[in-house]
Amino acid sequence: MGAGTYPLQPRPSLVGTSLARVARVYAEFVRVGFVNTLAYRLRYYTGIVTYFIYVSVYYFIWKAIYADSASIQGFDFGQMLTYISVGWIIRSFYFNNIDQDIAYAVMEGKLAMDLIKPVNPQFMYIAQALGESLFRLGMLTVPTAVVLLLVYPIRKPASALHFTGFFASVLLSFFIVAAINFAVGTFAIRLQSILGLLRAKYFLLELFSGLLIPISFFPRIFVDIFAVLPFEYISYVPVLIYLGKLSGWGIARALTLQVFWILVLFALGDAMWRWSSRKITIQGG
Amino acid sequence: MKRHLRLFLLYFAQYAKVRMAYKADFFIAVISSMTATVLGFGFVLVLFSKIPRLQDWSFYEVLFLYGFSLVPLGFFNVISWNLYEFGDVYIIQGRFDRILLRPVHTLFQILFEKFRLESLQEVLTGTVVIAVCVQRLRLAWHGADYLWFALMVACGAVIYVSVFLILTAVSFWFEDRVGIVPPVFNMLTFGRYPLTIYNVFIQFMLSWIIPFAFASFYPTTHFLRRESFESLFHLVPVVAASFFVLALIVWERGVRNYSSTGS
Amino acid sequence: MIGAHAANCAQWAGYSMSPIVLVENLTKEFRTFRRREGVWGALQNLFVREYLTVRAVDGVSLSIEPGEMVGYIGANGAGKSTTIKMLTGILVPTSGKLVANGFVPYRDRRHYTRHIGVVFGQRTQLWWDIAVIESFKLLKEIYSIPEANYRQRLGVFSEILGLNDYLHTPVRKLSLGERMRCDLAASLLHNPPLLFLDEPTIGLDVVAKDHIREFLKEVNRTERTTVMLTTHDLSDIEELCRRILIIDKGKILFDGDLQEMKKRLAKFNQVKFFLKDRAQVARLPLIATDGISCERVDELTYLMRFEREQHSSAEVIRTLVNTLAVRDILVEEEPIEDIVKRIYLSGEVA
Repeated sequence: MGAGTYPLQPRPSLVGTSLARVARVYAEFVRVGFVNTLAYRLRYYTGIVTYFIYVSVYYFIWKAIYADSASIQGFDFGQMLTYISVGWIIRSFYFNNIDQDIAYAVMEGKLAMDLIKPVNPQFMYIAQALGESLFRLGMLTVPTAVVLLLVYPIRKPASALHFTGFFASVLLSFFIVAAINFAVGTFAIRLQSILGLLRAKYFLLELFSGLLIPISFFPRIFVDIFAVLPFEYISYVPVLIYLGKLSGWGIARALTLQVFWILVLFALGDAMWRWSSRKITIQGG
Repeated sequence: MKRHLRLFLLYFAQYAKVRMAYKADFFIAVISSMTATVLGFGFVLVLFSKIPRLQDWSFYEVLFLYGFSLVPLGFFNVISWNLYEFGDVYIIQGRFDRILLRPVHTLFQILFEKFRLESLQEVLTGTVVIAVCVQRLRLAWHGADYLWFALMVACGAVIYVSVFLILTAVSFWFEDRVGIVPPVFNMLTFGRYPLTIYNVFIQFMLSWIIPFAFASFYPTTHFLRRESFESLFHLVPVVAASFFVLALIVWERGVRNYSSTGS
Repeated sequence: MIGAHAANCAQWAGYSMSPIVLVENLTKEFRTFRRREGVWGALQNLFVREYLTVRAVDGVSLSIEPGEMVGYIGANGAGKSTTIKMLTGILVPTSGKLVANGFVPYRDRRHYTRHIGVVFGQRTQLWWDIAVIESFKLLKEIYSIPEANYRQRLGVFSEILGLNDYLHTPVRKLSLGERMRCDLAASLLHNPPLLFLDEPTIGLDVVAKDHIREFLKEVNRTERTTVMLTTHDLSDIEELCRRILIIDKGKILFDGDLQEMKKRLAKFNQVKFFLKDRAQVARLPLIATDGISCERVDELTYLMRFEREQHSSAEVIRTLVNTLAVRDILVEEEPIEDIVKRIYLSGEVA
């Protein structure tokens, strides 16, 4: 937007911004995120192999576990294999590094630049991450899914309805993860070194999202606690839909709760950004 | 040698001083690090609430394996900080130029310019976990065990350093912000399960390609008196030394490539 | 290439004085790839890359005598930084000969670094989070500087550069000017005979620039430190260097005495004059004729430019005072920036 610097041209009015204009601005960030993936090209060269190794390792761990029991917590081995595989496949789509990006922006002193842009920083970061995720969907998620389907006896989705619900649910997972990462990333503004926190968050999401083990395997008390937290809506719930363990109203309820959590987390991220960015404006970053 | 030791201590003292200047920050880092350590074991904990054994390994044996892997990993984590940021900070932003302008070996500067002090927590936690398991499993350690333990921890740390140096060196050829360190780092956890549950390919990979099994599983079998891996256990120092030499060669080549492309 | 430096000639003639830096036919080629744009381009970039070879430095030869201060200038991307990186041992040349202080920089890098100081104006060599003095202590160990020498030099530097006020401040909290002073001191703590400066005054205010120039002069005078500096600011060079090297598209365009260059290559003279009153402005077109240009500096100040070969200053001034009511007149040489700009544009010196 080079206009506005030259007095002869009318200034773009920020007050009269229409919804379409806002959408166009964020669509641009999505595009930038998509194009910017060159900076991470090694990830695409190695990604499929990495994910294949992950799933294989968990395949053998679960095989050893199922050696002397046919069903645990209502999962037979075939379901468990599907649970793990689908979990990792969708992870290759929904994950992002917004938290790390913010941390680096802080370290490099570039965060002040985010403050002067006339956009909502949370939506800007999330829009860019979405562009990256869409890129990954084609370059990593789909190829990984194909490879895994060829090698392992992964089950088909329970029904067309379930697959549709699953698809919607995964898209919502992306926004939950993105909002969590944004909120965690804002800590970087206040902390000297955030990397320890990011590692803790990594393990926390891996475990509490149900990526490694279904939530129903946890002791009762944890199951109850997780029910009122957003984490299980990242991986556990979408995969349950895929497996057909939720149906009809269950799917509708799950999707509604996902949307609810996205809204709550957006509000949280916004509040935290305000709280943290005060530090930049007061202390000069 | 003496100069390098002095330099190391000075680097360490400087960095510690910086970290201690922000006490609250350091405290959060330690808490986060401990949380990560506990959560890292969460999968096994949850699993054992539903099953009594993993293959023929009891809970405390698996816990021992986890505890043992933590100790060399903790030492490695303390000095590996710059390896994470290497592609971004040193290559893309060009800070490696500065490293080349100093009369100290490049690796020395990369490894010792920054320390993840909070990871010493892992060393401590690992040691405590091992002590508990030794007692629970009635392993009755004698003098030789302590010596082997020290040696195995050192070898484990060298193996981790070597593997990740090789992976970090890839940044010299491929400009990439994150590189391939993070996905392999996450594979560390695979060395924390009994190797025998895997098929031949994964066993081979964890032994000879990314030799994490030599840093955790093979040493553990010795301490748990599982005699079937004794010969591989004795190979641990050889594997550590070989990978270290390999890492040095790859690193030097990477530096040479950097000097000719100036990327 | 014309105007080869006198000392340069002396070297080739086999005089005994040996240069501290000797470069012959130095060339550096890079392979870069073309980034495609757009969404489809991003996909293509991932798999197929189109490479092209760029010759950043192309057959550069030069020699520098001990104690010289040489200014090395060129437009962005002309090959300045690449040359400096080869001279400091960071980059290996594609071809050519390079000896500095008895070392081949890229081959003997680690030993060689003890004998040079390097400052990159854009990037600090100090540790970001620790106090300046602590950085200095680390450097003392890294370069094994004896305690007494360290103290003595730190004392001198602190005094000339006025470092005492912020020796105990972390580098990240320093202003650019303060940081640059510290960086300079840091690069000279081990008393290197050779100092390379890449844009040492970029982004600094007048006072800081002046400080740094005075310091460099002092070091050059007392320690006979040889200095090679690149800069965009030609006033740096006029202040510090007798000799100037101009590089463009990887080739040396000029190597020689700065004053001589001015004398030979200044094509224009300029006369600045101050009008008595505003009424005179309307009459200005009367003097701007026959290859004499006249431009406005401010309301009453104007600048005439003319080729030296075409007009003499005396004649121009005579016409001026006869035509207009003028309060004051200044005759100026063509600014060095303009000369250099012309050299860049034409790509040749003669």
